[in-house]
Amino acid sequence: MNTILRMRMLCTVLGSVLAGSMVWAQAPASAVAASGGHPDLSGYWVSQDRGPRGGPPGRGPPGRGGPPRGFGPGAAGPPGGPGGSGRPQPTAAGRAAAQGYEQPFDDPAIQCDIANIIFGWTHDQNVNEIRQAGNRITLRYGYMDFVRTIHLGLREHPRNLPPTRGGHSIGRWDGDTLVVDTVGLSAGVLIPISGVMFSSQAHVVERFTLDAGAKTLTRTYSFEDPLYLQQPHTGRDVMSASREPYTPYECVELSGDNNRRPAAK
Amino acid sequence: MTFKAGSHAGHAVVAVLGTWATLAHAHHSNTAFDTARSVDWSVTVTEFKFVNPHAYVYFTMPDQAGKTVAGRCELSARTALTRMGWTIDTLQVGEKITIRGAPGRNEAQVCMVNSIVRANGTEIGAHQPLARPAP
Repeated sequence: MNTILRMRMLCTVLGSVLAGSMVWAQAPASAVAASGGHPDLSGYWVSQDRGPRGGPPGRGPPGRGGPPRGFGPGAAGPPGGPGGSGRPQPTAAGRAAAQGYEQPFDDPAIQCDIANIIFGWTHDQNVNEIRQAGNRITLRYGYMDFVRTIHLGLREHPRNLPPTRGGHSIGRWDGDTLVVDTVGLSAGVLIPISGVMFSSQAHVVERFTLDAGAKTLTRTYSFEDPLYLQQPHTGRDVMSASREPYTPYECVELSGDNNRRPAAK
Repeated sequence: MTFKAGSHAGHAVVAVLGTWATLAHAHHSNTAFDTARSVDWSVTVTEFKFVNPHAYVYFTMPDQAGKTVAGRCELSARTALTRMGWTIDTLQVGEKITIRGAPGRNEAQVCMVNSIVRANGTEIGAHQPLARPAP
């Protein structure tokens, strides 16, 4: 093979790879495509609610496929999150764990941390991205650039998982609904503004259901923590297919001493 | 990362993206500000950091003794501000503005912005779109 031919082949391969990545990068929420007989959730998704803030129930408009709009003062998710079950009731251990928590100083955002996989998905209506390929579904959160991988085809979680913010997620299809089971979460705060904590015993089940006609993706969830929560915290949020793409969040925390505990200054 | 160290760009491009409003959401620090009090500071912008999770405007202003002191005030996330039509050029280095906001609880010359008044009297609500498209 001569050099020119090799160069042409190399260019062809590189061009194909580049084109493929651009298609993915620019792909809108497909919403209607099928993958292995199951819905393809790939695309850009934006929450119809602003996410939990501790204010009155959200008054956001139904999803129109774009970034959030038209939210006036007071618009917010309910205390437990969009469509959540209200403020989770902690156990005695959960209350003890929250004793030292002060939101101005301990909110995970100060450390560029999403807080948890439920909160970060909807928070501030950043555009999320889902990529579905083979036995993996990748959720890229628009908030804090957090990335989760959902493993399909696994029957159980690995043993002795080191706890992480995203834990370990197994996905399976229940009809057209993607059911995601997550364990191995590092302890943290479930509702940052009110300081409801969760332990590393937390177990989360999320169910993602695509409405291809409406181009919406509904997630229901159950967040169990037998150590810190009296009952599972349940909720629901709805994403619309977004015309705007995912953009890197690039967290740079600048709050400084105003958000540092005085003794720690 | 998009720090603004100084810009001679023209007027802010605010019309196109100015259709989305959102409540400023000091999601990790709203209780770090005393919202029962307000400040009204006439300042000169020294830097505008248009970042997540909160943009900040840095400035100098005279203190009560007339000495120039530095300060900073917090805005919403870059992503939220962008939806409201803000860009990195919305605030210019050297621009004289009045900041109305809630003072920090733990640090002096720090605040959470409620609105900004430009030298020409135009007031920019921190929680409102910069401009709306014509109906």
